[in-house]
Amino acid sequence: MKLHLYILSFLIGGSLISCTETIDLTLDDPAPVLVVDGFISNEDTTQFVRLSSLENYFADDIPNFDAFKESKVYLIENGIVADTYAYNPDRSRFEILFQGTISSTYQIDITLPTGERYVSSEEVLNEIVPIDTIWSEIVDDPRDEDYISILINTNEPAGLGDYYQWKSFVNDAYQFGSFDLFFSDDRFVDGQEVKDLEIFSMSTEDYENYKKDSPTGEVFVTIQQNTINLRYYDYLVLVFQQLNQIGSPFASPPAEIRGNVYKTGETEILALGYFYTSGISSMTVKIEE
Amino acid sequence: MKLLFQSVFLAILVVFSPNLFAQKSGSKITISGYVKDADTGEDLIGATVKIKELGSGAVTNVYGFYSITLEQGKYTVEVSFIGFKTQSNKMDLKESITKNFDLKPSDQQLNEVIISAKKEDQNVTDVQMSVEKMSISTIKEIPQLLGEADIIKSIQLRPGVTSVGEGASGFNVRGGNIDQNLILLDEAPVYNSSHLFGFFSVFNPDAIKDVTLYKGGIPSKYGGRLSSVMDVRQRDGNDKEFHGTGGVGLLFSRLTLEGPIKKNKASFLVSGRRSYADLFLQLTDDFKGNKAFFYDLNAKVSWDINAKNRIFASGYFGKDVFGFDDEFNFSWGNATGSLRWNRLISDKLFMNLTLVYSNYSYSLGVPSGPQAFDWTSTIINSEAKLDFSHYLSSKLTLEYGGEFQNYKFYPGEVTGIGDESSFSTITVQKETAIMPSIYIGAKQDLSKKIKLLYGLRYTHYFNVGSYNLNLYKYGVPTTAQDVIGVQQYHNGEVVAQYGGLEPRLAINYIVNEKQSFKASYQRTKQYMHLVSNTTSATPIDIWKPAGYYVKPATADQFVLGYFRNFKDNEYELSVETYYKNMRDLMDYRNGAELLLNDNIETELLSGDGVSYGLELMVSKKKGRFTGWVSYTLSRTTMQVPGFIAGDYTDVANGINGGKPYATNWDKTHDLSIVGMFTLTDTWKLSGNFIFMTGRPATYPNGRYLWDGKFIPDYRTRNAARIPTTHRLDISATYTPSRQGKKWKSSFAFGVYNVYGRKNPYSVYFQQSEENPVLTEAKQLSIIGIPVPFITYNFKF
Repeated sequence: MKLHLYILSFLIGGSLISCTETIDLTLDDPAPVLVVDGFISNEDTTQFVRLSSLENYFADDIPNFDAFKESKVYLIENGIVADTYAYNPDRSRFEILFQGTISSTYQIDITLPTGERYVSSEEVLNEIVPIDTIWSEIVDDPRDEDYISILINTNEPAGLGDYYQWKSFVNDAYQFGSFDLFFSDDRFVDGQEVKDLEIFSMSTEDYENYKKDSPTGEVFVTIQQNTINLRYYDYLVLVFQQLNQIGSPFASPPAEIRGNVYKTGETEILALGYFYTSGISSMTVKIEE
Repeated sequence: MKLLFQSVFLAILVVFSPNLFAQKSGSKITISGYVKDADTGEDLIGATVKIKELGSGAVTNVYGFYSITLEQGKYTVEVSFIGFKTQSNKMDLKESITKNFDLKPSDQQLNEVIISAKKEDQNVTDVQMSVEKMSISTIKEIPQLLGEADIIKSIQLRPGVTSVGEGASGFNVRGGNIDQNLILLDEAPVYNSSHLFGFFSVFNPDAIKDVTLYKGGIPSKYGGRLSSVMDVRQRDGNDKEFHGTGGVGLLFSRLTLEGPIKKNKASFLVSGRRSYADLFLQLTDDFKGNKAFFYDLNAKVSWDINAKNRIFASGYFGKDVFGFDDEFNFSWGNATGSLRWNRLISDKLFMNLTLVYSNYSYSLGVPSGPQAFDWTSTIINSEAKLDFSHYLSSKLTLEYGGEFQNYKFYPGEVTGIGDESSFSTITVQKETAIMPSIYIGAKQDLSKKIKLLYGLRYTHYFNVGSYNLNLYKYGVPTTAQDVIGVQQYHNGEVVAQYGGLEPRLAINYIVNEKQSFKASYQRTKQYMHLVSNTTSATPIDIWKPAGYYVKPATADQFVLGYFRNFKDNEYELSVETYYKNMRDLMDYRNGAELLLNDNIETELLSGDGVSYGLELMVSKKKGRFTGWVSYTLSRTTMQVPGFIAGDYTDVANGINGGKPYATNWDKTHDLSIVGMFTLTDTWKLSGNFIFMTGRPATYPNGRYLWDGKFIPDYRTRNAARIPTTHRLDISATYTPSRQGKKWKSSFAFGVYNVYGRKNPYSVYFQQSEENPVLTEAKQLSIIGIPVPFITYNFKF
């Protein structure tokens, strides 16, 4: 399950004697490219998509989302327009109140103020796989500080070809760091009961900080088990590699990450980012000391 | 299978028919035998046996054998070898005789250098070009990381040989990837030549006698790789008396023991190394329970049964072991064994039969708990080889023979351990390949001015069952989703077969004894590829044999050279320019998943490569100061068009849109300066300086925010270059003048990376840890500080 992470940590360990330093480089501004960031799930909630543009690698601010606010954004369900997104300037994103249906296919259809139209490839919303149990543990690490681990048990349905992404939320805040990216296929665990799967961990120091910031003084961790599609899984593999498997002699080579949103009529032109579907099952645990 | 039997039959027919080439001689007689070290009985490879009156002679083969056919008469036979006193023998040759020569080593280290240089104008006269030969004594003098003499790192100081960076595994020869080098240890192939991920090579210099690297004009007896052959020979062991050699270094220690089993008849050699950093780590709380070490063991037994028959049995076993408590363990290693029988069929016909076994495997896993698993991968290679050297006349020597190789590739198997484990067993199916080959080569002196080396090799390659072949919707391996069925092949049934002739040709035009022009052409074929998608190869990379979807690679190389010696052979100059065209090379799709992949062919892309360059070397061979300057100017590119098919069809899958791009190991300028100075009988100094262009790298086109993360957008592969690399290393060897009668010792100390240059290994891009809105460029240097070393070496 976590083979990638094991190998990675090991190989990085191989270069302990190395040193790294930040260097000054100048890179040219890129030509503008649309970026699409969103998904649709089976949860009955506000669902959203963010539009932005590719910027210089050394830009010093977040992208200007408002530049795309005049765009027309539609959700397509089974090939038919199902709803229209509305721009929420407070959160710099397009939103709809929508619940996806299992086994339906979804696409996003975007027309930019310039008249250019982009559509994502069809993605099916997969059956959810429930989390059976969730619990937290304090791990006594002999070589490092103690930390709190969040683990789950789940039953992987028989039949190869299931793909998962797990997302973690601490007091409802999405943990979006690059090392929080956690996903897997079912090759090693097909049809098995998956036990003691560690999804998230936080240092005791982080826990104290969360406690301080929480109005009730309590810390809850929610784990989402998302069933996803192979193509999005492949996309995540690339994102993970390009963000995390870097900086060692055994790093993955830099690679173009191709998403699933195309300019209509010109399939060679891709937007960046990905619009995916997600069958979500979630469970929350309160961290006890 | 019919074809297979035909090939085997053909091979057997040729190799067992040496009489095809037999020749009746008239008034001519033959002098033949072995050249050995008088002190140790060690065969001397490449020693010169020269008939002074004729100005011609022979060079001993890899078993120390020579044979010269000439008219009856009185001659002066001069025998010489680097580091040995030249022997001059007046001989009245009336009939064919066997004559073994025992050369005395030059005792004085100071003299050694001078005597070694007396030999010879081989740079000019030998038809073989593009060859790098380094004596073990030179390799031991070159300063290296932590003072450990290293064959592979030393050979990288020669023109045309580079690596992707400091501490990287393997080496690149004339634009070839690291898997294009055939590395042979006593004729057994070595699949991973590195310890500690590439910092040290697996060859223990105390156990090695000779290293020869062929970069071009490769003789037809070698085959199976595109770019080079590195032929490493282990020492036979002293057959006169018992001796030991060893050293204590900062990272590891070594000990070699050798001696006669039966005096002058049979000898043994056992040599071992082990690193011991982990033993000290155990003393600290932080690393207690961790394992991190490597060891290797070389062993050899040689037996001169009689004047005509000799047997050698040699083996190598090495392993790297890492482990973190009971959380994770990882090990890898090579094991090789070869059994050889030399037979003198006649004074002109030398036969060698070799049986080889080679195994490379790795294993990693988590030993306990719900995530417990064990992952193994292995490649096993066994082969039988029959070689003949046929010394037809003083002007013509034939080499011919054949080999039969069998390969078993086990790409990977993962099993859960214990009842608790959540892991199912996953096995990527085994692949089997068999490869019969035959070859013939000739070394011919057309005249005093023109010498030729030519030959032909033919290999037939079979990938055989049992095997389940994936069938794809579009006939080409697009994606795992495009698999429409499986074709079953039974045990021994041919899945795919390839074959091809590999012509080799070299010519030397000797203008005069001081200068010559050489040219060569070679075609080489490679039937297996190392599947590696990281900057530096890792121990967990697997070898993928050619099969239904993966073709063997082919290369054609043309070389022109000018060779000149100056000042009574004190200085040697060589200039070579080469052009190499490579077809059906492998590269990878973006984001390729190469491990435990049943559909690995869908991750591979096939393309062509071109490499061309100019190599220049000036060396000083004589005097108290010796050394060389080597410079290479080169360019290596690849072009991978990809194909358009399958569900991802909207994307042309080629790399860089099918346009050429520089390979990771393309280095425009590569300069090495190596100097060794014998100050006194007790002090020797040496140093080397290297300078090379930074290797190609991919810099981002821009960045974008997705799912809360800044993601780099990479477009054009290897369009940028990381900064230049340069480094100076120095060392001094002190040999106390007062030495024990038996026990002799010396100290070597020095500094690697004297001025602490932070040489870039790579430049990579990441989100800033201090300010998550910023992204930054980071430079990784493997060794960014001066690293001092001291080593104690001894002999008894």
